[in-house]
Amino acid sequence: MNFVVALHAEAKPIIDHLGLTKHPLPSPFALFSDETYQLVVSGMGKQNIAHAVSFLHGRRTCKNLPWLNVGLAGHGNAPLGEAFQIAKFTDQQNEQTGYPPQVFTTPLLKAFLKTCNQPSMEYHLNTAYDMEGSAFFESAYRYSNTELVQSIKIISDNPQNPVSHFDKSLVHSLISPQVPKIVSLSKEMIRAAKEISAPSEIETLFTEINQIHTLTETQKHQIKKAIRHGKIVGISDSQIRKLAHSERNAKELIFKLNQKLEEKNLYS
Amino acid sequence: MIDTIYYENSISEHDRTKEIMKRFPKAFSIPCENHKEIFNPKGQNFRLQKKKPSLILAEKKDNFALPIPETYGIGGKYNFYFSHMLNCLYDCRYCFLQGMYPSSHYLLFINYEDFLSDIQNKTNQHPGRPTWFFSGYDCDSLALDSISAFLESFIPFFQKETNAHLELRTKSVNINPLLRYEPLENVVTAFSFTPKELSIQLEHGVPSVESRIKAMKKITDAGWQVGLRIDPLIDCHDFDQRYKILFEDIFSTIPVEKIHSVSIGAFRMPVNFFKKIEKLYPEEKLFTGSLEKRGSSISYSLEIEQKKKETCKNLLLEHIPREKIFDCETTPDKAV
Repeated sequence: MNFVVALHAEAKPIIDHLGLTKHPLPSPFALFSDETYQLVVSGMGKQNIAHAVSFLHGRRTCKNLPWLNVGLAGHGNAPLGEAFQIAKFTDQQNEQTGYPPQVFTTPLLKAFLKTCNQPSMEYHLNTAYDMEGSAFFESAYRYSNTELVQSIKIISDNPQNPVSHFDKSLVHSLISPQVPKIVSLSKEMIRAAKEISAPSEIETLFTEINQIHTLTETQKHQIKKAIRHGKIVGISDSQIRKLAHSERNAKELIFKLNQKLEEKNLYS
Repeated sequence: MIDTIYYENSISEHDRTKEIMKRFPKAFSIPCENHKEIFNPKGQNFRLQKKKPSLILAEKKDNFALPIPETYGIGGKYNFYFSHMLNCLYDCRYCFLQGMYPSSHYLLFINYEDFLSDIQNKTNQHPGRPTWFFSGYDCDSLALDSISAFLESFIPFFQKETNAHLELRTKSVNINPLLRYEPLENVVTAFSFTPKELSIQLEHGVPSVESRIKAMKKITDAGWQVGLRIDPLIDCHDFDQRYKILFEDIFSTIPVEKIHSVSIGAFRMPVNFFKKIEKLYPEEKLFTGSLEKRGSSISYSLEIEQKKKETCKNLLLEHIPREKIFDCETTPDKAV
């Protein structure tokens, strides 16, 4: 699970809550993690967040990782401290628009987001304003399903409390109360990602077989499919492993695997 | 049930849009220029969206009623299908929609009048001869009627235009909207079935076989005709016995004279749809079966397919005359 946050002050309540530790090695971005989470502090602006997303992807190039952007934003009519899940984003500069699918059950309210190049002094109704959101979505969409890329914005300024008067010491107190909702959404995203990810045992068993036999690309595909189908119909890993050792070559192994599958594949 | 509604700006003031929005006062509504911005983007996951589909309200611009594959009719010469909605309330693991669409959001085209105008035109092209219109290829015709109010707009048309025939294909037991009307000879409500053991495992969210038979009974008691769609046929353990019991359950409840037609179609899927669905549900046993590529489709081997169809036909012939049974032949090089 990847968190992408523009400022350290915004990230700190999440880092503290999850108990993430800072990476000691030098890197272009401050990075915090544990076994489940990675959190990168990107710095402000679209370019920084796009680079931070690529940086984070480069560290763990798994498919279907969830990505969650958390940060402060202005809003046309919401009170300070209110948290929103972004349901539509628009880039003020290129007018690119996107609609993050709303598939998770969360108590968070929803909002439209406009991403600007400079802090916005304009406040339109029902719209949040930030400086990173559109670039976060566009970058993270390259690495994951759109459902697994979400953004939460917490309101730091509005027409009554304009950004020009924003007191930076308030960041912690604005973000902290929303951390349970943030973590709750992140957990739901992790569950969803697991649901659509191939079980890692398939890859482990395949790697073993790949070391025993020389496989063509087609055979690799056929063996992966046979392992997967074997799991579904109840052929154990040890049975497959035994066959892999006893058969002389990949062709014979695939033949035997398919024979075993045919014995068991009738729908019950 | 619906938390998020997307709507095209051009139809924001349409009465039907307003009516539907009113039914979901708590839903968050999001304007868009074109439904394709939400429905079509790459990188969406059908399976994840199916957990909580949103509703998209849009206007269909063209291709309202289209010809059906040649082998899919139920006795009529002129046959068209139309889809006022894309995607279904239910989640049947064998359904081709999972492979066809990038999104599982419910996409509802609210300009029913344009559909009806096209249906009228196509009916007029064959004066005095019945023209069939099939609803329910890309959605369930009845399941979401409480949102779409589809029947309220379409049944009155078929009341007046008796030369046009309508099939409402469904797995729903939501029959009350239909029962508000007097029965029509040119409307057939066609229920799809697999045996209950398969339905439980493969047809997620679908009402039980028993409750669907009860719904059929209510409809026929009210004077409507029904159809049976044994499609897709799924090869399974105890195939003969399971299908035998299914047919006995249906025919012991529904009078044969009220059954307009029975169609049989074996499991089949365009190859590219199948590959996509297999990736979406890698743990699904159905896809480990003895399936093979024939033309541009994945289906059972011809031998299995013919044998299973023959078994079903023979079982059906114990209850219903041959002329009411139609075979949806696999047409590998045509769209399903």
